Amino acid sequence: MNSKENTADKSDKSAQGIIIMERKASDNKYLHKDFHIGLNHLMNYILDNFGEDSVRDYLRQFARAFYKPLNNKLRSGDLEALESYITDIYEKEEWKIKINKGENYIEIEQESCPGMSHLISRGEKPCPLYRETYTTVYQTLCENTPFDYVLVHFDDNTGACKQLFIRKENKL
Amino acid sequence: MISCTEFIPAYSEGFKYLELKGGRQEVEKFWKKLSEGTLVNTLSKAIQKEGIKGCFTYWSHTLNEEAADFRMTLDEAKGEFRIDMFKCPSKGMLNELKYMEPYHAYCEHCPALYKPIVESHGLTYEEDMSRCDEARCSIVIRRKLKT
Repeated sequence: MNSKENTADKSDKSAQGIIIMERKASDNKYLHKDFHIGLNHLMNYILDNFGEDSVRDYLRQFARAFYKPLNNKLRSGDLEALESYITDIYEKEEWKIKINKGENYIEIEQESCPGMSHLISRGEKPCPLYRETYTTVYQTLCENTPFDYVLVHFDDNTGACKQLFIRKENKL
Repeated sequence: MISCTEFIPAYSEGFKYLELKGGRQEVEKFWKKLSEGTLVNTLSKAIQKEGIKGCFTYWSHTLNEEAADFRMTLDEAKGEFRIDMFKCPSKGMLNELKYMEPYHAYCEHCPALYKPIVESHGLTYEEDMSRCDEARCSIVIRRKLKT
C-alpha cells in the first residue's frame, strides 16, 4: 500500500457513542473501480432501449466532449501528448500495459482490460459492446487528426488486446 | 477504455444523451434501474445487516475511494446519520472541466439513486442541494419516530 491508501477503516469515535469520519480529498487516492459498473449499466441501458448504433452515438458524444483538448493536440501532430495521456490513465488504474512506440505510432498491449476485469470480479457481465469503449472512443479521439486508431485484436472475454495509433500516411 | 477515473464526465454525457433521446423521464428511468441494479446488493444489504449504521459502512467505502472532502456523523442513539459534503469529487471534477458543459441536473442523480433504497428500510432521507453548484451538499438519514 502506498501513502495514499484509502482510509475507510479509520474513523474517529467520540465518547458519546457518536462516530465521526472526516476526510480531505488529499487523504485518499481517487480510484473507485465500481464506476466501471456504472458505465456498464449505462451502456446496457442504451443498448437495450435504443440499440447498438445509439451506444456508439453516445460514446462518440462523450469522446468529442471529453477529449477535445487532447484531440486538439493530436491535430497538431503531437503524439507525445497521446502517450502521456495513455500512460497516465493506466497508472491511475494501477494496470500494467506494454507500450511500443516509434516516430509515427504508439502500440499498446494489455493482457486484460481493467474495466472488464473489475466487472467480472464483481459478478457483472460486460456489455456485449464493451469493445466500443476502445474502438468508437479512440476512433473519435483521432477525428480530424493525422492519426488513425486500429484495434488490432480484442478478446471479448477478457479485454486482452493490442491497440495501435498510427500516422495515416504510415498505415499499411 | 474509459478509465474509472474518467467515469464522471462519461456519466454526465450519458444523462445528456438520454435526455435528448427521451426527455427527463428517460434519465429518471435510467436512475431507477441503476439504483435497483447496483444499490440493492451494497447499500441496501448494509442497512439490512446493520440498520442505520449500514449507511456509515456503505459511504465509508465509497467516499474514501472517491477521495471526497467530507464529514460523516453517525449518532445511533438518536437514530441519525449525516454526510456533510464539503467538496463532492464528482461535481468538483465537472466544475473543473471548464471546456465541458455538465448535465444541467447532474446532482439530482444522488437522491434519485439513494433515497428509494434508504426509504425502503423505513428510514427518512433529506437532502440539501442548495449549494451543489459549489460541489457542496448534505444528506440526513433518520430512523422514523415510532408513533
